[in-house]
Amino acid sequence: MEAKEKIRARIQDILSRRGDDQPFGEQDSLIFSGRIDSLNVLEIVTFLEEEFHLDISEVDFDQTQFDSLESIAALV
Amino acid sequence: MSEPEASLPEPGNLNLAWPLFRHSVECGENAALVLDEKVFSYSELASLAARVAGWIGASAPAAAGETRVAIVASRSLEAYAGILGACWAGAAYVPINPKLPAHTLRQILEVAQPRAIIVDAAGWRRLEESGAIGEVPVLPPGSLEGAPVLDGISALEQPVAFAGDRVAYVIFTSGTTGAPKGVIIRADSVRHFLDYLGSLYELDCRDRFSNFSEISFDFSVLDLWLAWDSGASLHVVPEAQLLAPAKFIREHQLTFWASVPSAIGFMDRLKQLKEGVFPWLRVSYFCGEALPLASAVAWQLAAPNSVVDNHYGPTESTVACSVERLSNPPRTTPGRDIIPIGRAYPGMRLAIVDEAGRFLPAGESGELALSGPQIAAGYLGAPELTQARFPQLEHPEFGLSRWYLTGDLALQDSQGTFHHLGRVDYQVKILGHRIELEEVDGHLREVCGCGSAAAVAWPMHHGTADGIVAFVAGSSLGPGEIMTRLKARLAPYAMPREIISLPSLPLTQNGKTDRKALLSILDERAHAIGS
Repeated sequence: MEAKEKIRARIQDILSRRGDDQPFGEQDSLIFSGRIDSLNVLEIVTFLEEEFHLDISEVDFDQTQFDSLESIAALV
Repeated sequence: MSEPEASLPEPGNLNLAWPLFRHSVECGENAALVLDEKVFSYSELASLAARVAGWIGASAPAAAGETRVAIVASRSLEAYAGILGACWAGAAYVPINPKLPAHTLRQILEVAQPRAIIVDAAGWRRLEESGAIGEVPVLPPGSLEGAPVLDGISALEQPVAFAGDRVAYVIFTSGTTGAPKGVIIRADSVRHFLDYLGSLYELDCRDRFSNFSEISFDFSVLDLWLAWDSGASLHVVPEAQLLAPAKFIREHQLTFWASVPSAIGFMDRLKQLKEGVFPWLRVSYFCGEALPLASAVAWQLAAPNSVVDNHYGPTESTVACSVERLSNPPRTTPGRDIIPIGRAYPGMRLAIVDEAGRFLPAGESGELALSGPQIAAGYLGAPELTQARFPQLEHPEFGLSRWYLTGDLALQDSQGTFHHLGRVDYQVKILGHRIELEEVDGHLREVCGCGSAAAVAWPMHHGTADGIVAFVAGSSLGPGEIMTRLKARLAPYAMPREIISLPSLPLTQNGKTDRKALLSILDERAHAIGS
């Protein structure tokens, strides 16, 4: 599975746990729209670290980088 | 050359906007507000406030008694100039978060009865949804940036005289019945708070303050007024950097940081707290929830030139009323790995009482009670609740005086330091926000149309919750539908992160919902999946 598809599945999983079954596009806002919260962001960070060996200390973290599937996928 | 008359101190004028006005005359070029990379000098900000005050005077002429002005705005010029303008005009300000659901906004406005409302774009949308437009004069968004609304209205030259016993602001917090409570804070209470911190930290116009919290959260009282008291600049953390503002602190070379401790946790988890990364910080002010030892130590490492202070206080005590400084070796609260809440600010008193309101000696745990000049005047439009929470109590040493019962469980150790041990009720803190679980229960039951619903705070770390999980039994609605309906009623931070359907909810022997049993369901599930 492509990295982006793995991340998409993970986000879908988080959203459905939050009772959000609406579809989301690659550029749709996740954080600023309020669809995911700060703990979900940490969950995604942990996922990226484990799955793709992303070193978050190398990323000068900015919420905008985590706001859409497209921008998250661009990190890995 | 003679000093301009306006720059002379005005004895007895406790108008919160007065120091900013004075600085605008004495050092008007200095930066007062840095917002989205735009810098507003003291002169510019004072002139905006004077125009807003002129508009308030023209559209809502003060009748006898208190005038309240609501500001529904977040991290915008309208938010800061609106608050300043309201004070400048001699009104009490009521800051409201535009992210609140329209339903809650409506409830707050009904209690607050503002004579005028100032909004930014987000506040305007929310106000429209709530149906409150047209009832009172509203200063629409963009008015401060050249929209014609303020044309022809003359500015109010200087902040009006304001006596200490008048209301400075009303801030709303969560209430158990589902209706928000408006905490009334007088001008002399705010002055007491600011004067103590001013002397504790020896601030001046070279300081650079953070504004991390929303204006609707009373943490902002510290940020705004302490910065403008000192002639310092206030740097508003943009929404996009709230989760992990390390970059912002560095880029703005902040000297004064104030936030809830969870902000440290996030920055630490994102590996931003490298050694010495904040060399300019000299004051770090944490408040609003428990400060874990690990967070305090991580922060001290990142900010080696800063004091790390843990302040404690509910909104009813004017932001905070006790403090403990991180020491080496650090003192902690036994069994909880958190920094103690310390000792009372000079002039304030902390004491422990039992259920009957009798004062308990050191070493015994009970409800924390507070007394002194920073205690709120009460809850707006709720005399019975005010009487219940602010009783007159007979202290063996200090005699009869007015106290505020916090609902916090605490004890004083033999050295005189106070320790926070939890709550005597179902209030929880999430990212510093007060949430009454019973309020969430009530909304859940209403939207589900079933009698069986309960919320718990889970998981807990150091007495602070990560989020809320809701349980429902016998509802015909799915979790998605319940969430959608709840969104119209609950603030974003009070929304459950998950909804679990059970055949029935566990009950205690007294027939009440057994929240402990619900927590163990979650603990067991987390254990089973090994996370």
